[in-house]
Amino acid sequence: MKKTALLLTAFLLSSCMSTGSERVKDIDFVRETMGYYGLNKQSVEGLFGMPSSAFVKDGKEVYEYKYISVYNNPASYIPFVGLFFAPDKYLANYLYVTFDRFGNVETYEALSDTGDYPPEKAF
Amino acid sequence: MKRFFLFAIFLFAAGCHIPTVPSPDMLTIVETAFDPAVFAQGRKAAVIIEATNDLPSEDPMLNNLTFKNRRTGELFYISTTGREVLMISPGEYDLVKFVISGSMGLTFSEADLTPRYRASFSVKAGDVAYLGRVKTHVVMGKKEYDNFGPATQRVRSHTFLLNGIDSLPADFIGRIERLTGKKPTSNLIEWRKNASAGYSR
Repeated sequence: MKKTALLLTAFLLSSCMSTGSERVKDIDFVRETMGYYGLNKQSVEGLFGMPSSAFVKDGKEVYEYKYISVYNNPASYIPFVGLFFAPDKYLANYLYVTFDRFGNVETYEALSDTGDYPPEKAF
Repeated sequence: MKRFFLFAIFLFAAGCHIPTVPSPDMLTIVETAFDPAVFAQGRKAAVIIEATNDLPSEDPMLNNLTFKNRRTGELFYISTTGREVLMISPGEYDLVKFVISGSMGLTFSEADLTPRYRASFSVKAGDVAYLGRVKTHVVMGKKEYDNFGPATQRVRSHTFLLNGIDSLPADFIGRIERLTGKKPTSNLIEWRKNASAGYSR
């Protein structure tokens, strides 16, 4: 019984796949943290780690952080009722931080999209 | 009693959704799904690609293409019978897989055309690029009937690239403009036969 429970737990925990920075997994935390005054490049790196990419837009440096995951829909585990739900859900969080020429945070954009997998097509 | 319990377990299992572990491909599909808010940040390129075929089948056969970023190794997938709009990282991309699959009646068929063609394209951040229409056309078809088994169908096809940007519907172009702030421009895939593999068509 113990072995079965352990096996089931391991299976359930493995039913999620993700990529990117775990530190932007909670978008509410990201928005709350970025709302603080006086953030700069060092403090952003300290909070969220190294960005997944950095690029220049309109002459200013921008850091991109992302967290993307696909996981089993918990509702789909309910016998019979679960057949009416999509088997998988997704979460896509992005954080874009724009710095001024002194390395201070000028603006930020925290985006989050979630829903049934596959994502709905815009076209 | 034992049979009853076995039957009850069978019914229970039949009513359950057996979960499967998500695959890495699914993450790529989520990341490349077009999102206007993410595109507006200026880091990604939007690409429009069409893929069709006239292979004989009950329902239109799916055109599956996989492209790989030459520098980062990032993949993106197209699986369509018509038109797709995706959001990808800038860079140079090469075709790594081209498979047409679907039902040809009672059987499921898959044609791996990867060895026959080479294709590549390049996009920059902020581009709204129309990559072209990958069209697979049947050159010759042959049906063979067997008294003792299912009929088999052999087709000889040729895949080429068309520039269909002028035939894109006006409402589609309007929607692209609204969501990206730009009109799509032609940035056609360099589609060619893989002559080094011995294919002449």
